[in-house]
Amino acid sequence: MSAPLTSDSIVVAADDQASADMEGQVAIVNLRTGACYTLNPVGGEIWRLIDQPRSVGAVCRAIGEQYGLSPQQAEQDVLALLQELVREGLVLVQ
Amino acid sequence: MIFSTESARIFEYHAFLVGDAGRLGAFEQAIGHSVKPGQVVLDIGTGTGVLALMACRAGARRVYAVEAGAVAGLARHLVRNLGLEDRIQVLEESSTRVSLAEEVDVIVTDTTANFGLEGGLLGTVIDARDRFLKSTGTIIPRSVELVAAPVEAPRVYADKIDFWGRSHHGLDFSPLRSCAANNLFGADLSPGSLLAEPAALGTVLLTQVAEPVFRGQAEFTLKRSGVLHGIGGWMRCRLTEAITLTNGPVGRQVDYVQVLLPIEEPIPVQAGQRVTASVRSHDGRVWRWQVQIESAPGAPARRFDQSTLRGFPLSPDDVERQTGDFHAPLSARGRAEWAILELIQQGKTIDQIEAELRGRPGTAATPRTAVGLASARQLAGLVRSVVARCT
Repeated sequence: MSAPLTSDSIVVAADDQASADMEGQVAIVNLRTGACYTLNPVGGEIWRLIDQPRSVGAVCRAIGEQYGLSPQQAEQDVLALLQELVREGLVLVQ
Repeated sequence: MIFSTESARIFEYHAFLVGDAGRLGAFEQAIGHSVKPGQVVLDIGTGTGVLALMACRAGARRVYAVEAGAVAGLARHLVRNLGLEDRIQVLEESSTRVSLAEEVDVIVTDTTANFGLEGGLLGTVIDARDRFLKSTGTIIPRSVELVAAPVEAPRVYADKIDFWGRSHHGLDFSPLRSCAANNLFGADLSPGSLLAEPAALGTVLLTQVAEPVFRGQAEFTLKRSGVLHGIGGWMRCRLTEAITLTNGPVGRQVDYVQVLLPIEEPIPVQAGQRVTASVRSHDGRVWRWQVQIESAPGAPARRFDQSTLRGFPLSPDDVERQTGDFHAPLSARGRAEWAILELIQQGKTIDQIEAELRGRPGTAATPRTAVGLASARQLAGLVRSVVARCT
């Protein structure tokens, strides 16, 4: 069980995955398990932001600005997705 | 596989395989060394049955020859005509779906591909090893090593990738170029195309591998200047301790060519520059390769991160169907096939199934309307297709 994410956590897409843009969405294959995932356009934007190591706070700010969300709403949405991606082994917390 | 011109392709492809003296000579040696008289052998992907026949010749008491493709019909025909039905059992099925009546002493498989693993070797062998192999058993090959080198391959790159960056017949095909650059292409690489000494990305021990995953990395120092088009890849199999087999450009023993893992943009490089290649794959079906080129005087460092997932335009609908939480109602075709399966289960003949479906009222749930079967011929085709696949 990994520690809960905070806005200071540094996250990055794992190496054991392959991803591709797909008509605004993103498709991801977990190369360890073979499982397949799709992200909607907002999820896809978050995914692109963590191609390089980045703090959760920075991701929240970027998404909030891009989609006109309140800081609380952006943090809630970003954390929910990142926590799921961490659970699935697609995102590493550094 | 009946009433089809597909058989010509099967004969042509398997003539290529059976005619590969280097590959089959090495396998025969390995089988002769590993199979003892009276033993039981499982041949996965038997094709025409050539390795199963070799195992028989080496003294195997019984060989289970498994082949999912229609070529199994040729293997069965050969076995019957050679009078070996009491020793070779041809099973026309994927090995992951077969059940055997006994454990086996040897698993042999010649399903390595140009880059070793594209044929799904790992998942297949792990499944068969864990379900069928005796604890004292042997696997041929024992290990597969993936080997790579940075390559200058202008002809291959022009034919396979840049071809799609141009206009043809006055039509712009360039939107396809990026997809093309994310594929593993078969490539006949000459020793002169290598920009550095080859190095092993990694080795998979088939007796030990636990998950169908390959992860490998290698670092190269370029021995000459040129243009980097990608990473050349090939395999080096260890069939037994003493017998190895490679399709590498140097010392190639088999008719298989190598592969090119292209980079999206050819890069001029200089002797002494360092290049790192990292390659990952899930069961040889999805590949990701990352190539880093160290900076040189006047040239910044470059990094490419590519995968076969980007090698073909993806449709969200198709990908959604592969995800674990997908809920789907049966399609019209699915409902039609379900209705046919129910009638098969009731013991009806093909004629009876067709007659019954033709007689049903035209509601959305019936095959006739559900798949828009306008004619009795279309209905007959669907029924026979379900019978061929599911019985």
